[in-house]
Amino acid sequence: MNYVQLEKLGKCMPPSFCHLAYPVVQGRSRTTNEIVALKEIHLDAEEGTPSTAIREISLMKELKHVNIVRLHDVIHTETKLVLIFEFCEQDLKKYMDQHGERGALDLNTVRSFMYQLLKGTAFCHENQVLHRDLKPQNLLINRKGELKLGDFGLARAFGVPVNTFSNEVVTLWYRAPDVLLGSRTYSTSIDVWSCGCIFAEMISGLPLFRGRDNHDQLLHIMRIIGTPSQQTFDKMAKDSPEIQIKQFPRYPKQDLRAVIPKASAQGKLIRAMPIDLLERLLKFDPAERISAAEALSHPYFTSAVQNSTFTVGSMAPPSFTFPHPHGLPPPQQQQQQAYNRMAMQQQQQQQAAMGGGYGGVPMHYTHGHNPR
Amino acid sequence: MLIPTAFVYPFLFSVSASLLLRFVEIPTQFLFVLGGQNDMLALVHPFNPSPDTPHRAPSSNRSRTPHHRKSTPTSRESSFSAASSYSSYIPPKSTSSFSMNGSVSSSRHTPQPTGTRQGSTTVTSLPSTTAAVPEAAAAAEESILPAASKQPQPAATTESSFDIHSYPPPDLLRLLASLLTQIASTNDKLEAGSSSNSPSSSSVIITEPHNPVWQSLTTASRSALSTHSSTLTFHARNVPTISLEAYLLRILKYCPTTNEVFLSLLVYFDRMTKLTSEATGRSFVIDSYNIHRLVIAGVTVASKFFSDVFYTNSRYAKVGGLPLAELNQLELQFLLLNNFNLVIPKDEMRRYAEQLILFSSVSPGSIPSLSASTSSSSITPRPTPTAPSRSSDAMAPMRSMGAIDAYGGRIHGGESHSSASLSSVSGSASMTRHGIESNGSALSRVINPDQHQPHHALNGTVNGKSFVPSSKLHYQEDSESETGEGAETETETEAETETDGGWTTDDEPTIRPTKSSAGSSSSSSDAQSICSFVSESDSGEGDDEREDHIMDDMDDDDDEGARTPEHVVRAEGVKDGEKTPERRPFRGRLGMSKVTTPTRRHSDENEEEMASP
Repeated sequence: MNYVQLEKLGKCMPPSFCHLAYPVVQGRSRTTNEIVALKEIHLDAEEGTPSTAIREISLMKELKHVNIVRLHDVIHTETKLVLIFEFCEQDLKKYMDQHGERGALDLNTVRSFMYQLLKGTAFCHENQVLHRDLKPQNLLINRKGELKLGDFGLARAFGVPVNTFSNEVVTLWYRAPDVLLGSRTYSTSIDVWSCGCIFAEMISGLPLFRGRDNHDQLLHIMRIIGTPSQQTFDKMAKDSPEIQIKQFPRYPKQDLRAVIPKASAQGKLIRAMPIDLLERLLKFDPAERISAAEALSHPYFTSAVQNSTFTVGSMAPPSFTFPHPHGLPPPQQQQQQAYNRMAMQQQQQQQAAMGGGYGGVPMHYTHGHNPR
Repeated sequence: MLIPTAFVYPFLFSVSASLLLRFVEIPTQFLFVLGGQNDMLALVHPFNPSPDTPHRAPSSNRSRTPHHRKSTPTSRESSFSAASSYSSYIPPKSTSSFSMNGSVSSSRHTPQPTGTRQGSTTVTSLPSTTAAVPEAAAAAEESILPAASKQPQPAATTESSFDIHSYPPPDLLRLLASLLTQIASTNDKLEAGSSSNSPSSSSVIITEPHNPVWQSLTTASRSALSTHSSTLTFHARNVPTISLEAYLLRILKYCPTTNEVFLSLLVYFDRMTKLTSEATGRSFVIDSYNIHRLVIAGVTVASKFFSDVFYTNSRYAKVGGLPLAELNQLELQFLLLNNFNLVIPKDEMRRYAEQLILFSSVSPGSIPSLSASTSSSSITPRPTPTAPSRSSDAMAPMRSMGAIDAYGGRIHGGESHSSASLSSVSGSASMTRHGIESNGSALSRVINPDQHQPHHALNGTVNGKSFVPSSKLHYQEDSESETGEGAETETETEAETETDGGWTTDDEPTIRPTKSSAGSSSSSSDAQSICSFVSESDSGEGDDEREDHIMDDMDDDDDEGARTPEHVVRAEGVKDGEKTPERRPFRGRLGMSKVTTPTRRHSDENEEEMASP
């Protein structure tokens, strides 16, 4: 083999299918001396080649972008496939734990990450790929401060119209309301929703909507962005007839400034910008959601004022007193349904994963740089 | 403007270039196929009694072509040089098959007496794709390109209403089967005609193993390509007795999926053959020995890739009639031989679909409405009865084309001729025309009849009805013939139908296409009907709806995830990646055992046949 195995990174060091517990090890290429991540995929006697692997390989092979984890090679040994990935030190979740203030990142970092996240997402969409599982655990950060989308095991190409979309996609907390309502005709907007959730989470340090199950998740969402009007519901039902609209309590829309005070804590001039972007990302009706490409030209990223007005360390204290999001899940949550378990389990594994970090790695702002 | 062109052209080209389907047995015998620039699967008809130049496009396109070639990242050079070198084996004249359209459509609505099937040596000629292959390589390229790139346009426009997604799956499969069967049997003949035999053993034009294509491969694919065994994996000891059409319909029945999955087979086969020859210089010939295995492996891979709903490999193996371990192996090799290149741009898919439909208008089958539409672009039929073509009965095995044969008689004057000449291609470059002809007929006689034999008996009926536009009837016929296939199956068919309903509800993919008929074959309550396919496809829509409701109801209690089918499955302990909802393990409840009975019967039968060397 052309790669030397260096050390085990733990079961869940991304990029990996945490839920599948594919071991990932760090390796080094004999030819280039480059550090790589080796992900082994066991070829199951029953299952053959796992569909997650098929998708991950075939999609990531095509997606060559600085904000997407690069798949360098695939090696076939007798009982397994080994995927050779670009190596990234840690994922966003870990990064937030280590570098954030209670998980909350400073706004410059947030902006850089958000930009890169949208950039990678836009690139996927441009190439007719839905990621369908965007969440901090699947976003990898390398020591240059580059953020990369990883884990394309749930991804799929959407150019070819295959109607068989599952609505059991995306980890619950990052799942778009239309999907929660049962939509199977979703498209790129579901990734955009996830981006919005991640955005808020980077700012506040806490997942924005933390439901226990589908319905609860919807309520969480409505409590913050408000229950949509009947017209909105009707329109959504018209757009995707398969969704089921039930009666929901009428929640008024909350001011996101109040929900995420940190977002507007600094700089009077730019106060509205992150909030405005967030609102556009988190539209209940998928048709109204901003696209990833459009979001990239939002003033939040383009305004020049911003850099100067940010000052690190002036963040307001967190207003939420939720248990730390990355802590062990409350016991009752372990009783939840499969998808819920899955989310939690990932969290646990996440915790168990890779102990060491790269504290104090200087951030390298890649804002505005042109990938490719 | 430079920039746009730079972007656009490579794109166009890369799409079209990948459409070459090559079944090439390189040095001594030549298998056909040069793709048109824009189109797929083409057979070469070196001899056209009536070269229809009108269809050959003006040379205006020419200037574009070299440009494409240059700008494409992957070296097309190799493919092209390969192509041109093949072409040198080919006798000078060639057909633009477009002329077929006219004849087809015109004859289509004329009821044909059953006997007419004689002429039915349908040759795979996809209208726009058929390559004209002059002797000189350069000339070959030139003439191919325009013909291909120009022709499809009108066809495409007439076909614009065509939606692969809503196309009745059984019809699609029938087309697919006839195309693939034709390809396979043509290759069989060619191989048979040639002195050497084992498909891949023959001499090899050795390309530099380190050519650019090679470099672009994953290590896994490289090692797969560097040995013969990967392609040989697909080669069965014997030709499976089940016809390809029956095989595909069987897959549709027990592993319902969308049209795109089936259509993608063509794309993947194309890519595999192309990649193999580009990377290694060896040829990967699709023939009757490996086509079934290619199909089942392809369906497995494509379902896993495209669809959120798919079945376990053990189910695909059962349905495909081969041991699980073997299917796993095939699946992996399929991936490797495609270099994991599974993404199919919309455009490419659409083109293949159109080509398949065009093919249908040339060859028998099928779908009246479509053929009607295609007819507009066609030219006057020129049935050119030629002596060799009348080898007729020998060609009968082709009859997976089913109903089409009915129309076939007339058309086939022309077509069969080309087929004859086609097969002659297999001979060697130096063949004289005379030699070729005789060779052709000899070959056609060779075609092994057992593959489709079961259908023969039914041909009469089928033919009689085939021009009836109703698709229902169409299915019926087909299913009749299907049932006829094994006389002993009649009762069993019934049982199958019954159980279908049984397992359908349980094992039905959770996610049903909203409107498409794609998955519709799954359920059927019509236990009385022998014509399982009829009942399936007809009742499919209704069932779809019903099931959707059921499912929606379940989804409704979204909190109770446990109640949705997937969760039930999980709860039952079927292992699975928690998060991969798309993984839908096949569940054996109730119907399953019943289903397996017939399944097994087939599979046992097939296992024997399909066991690999």
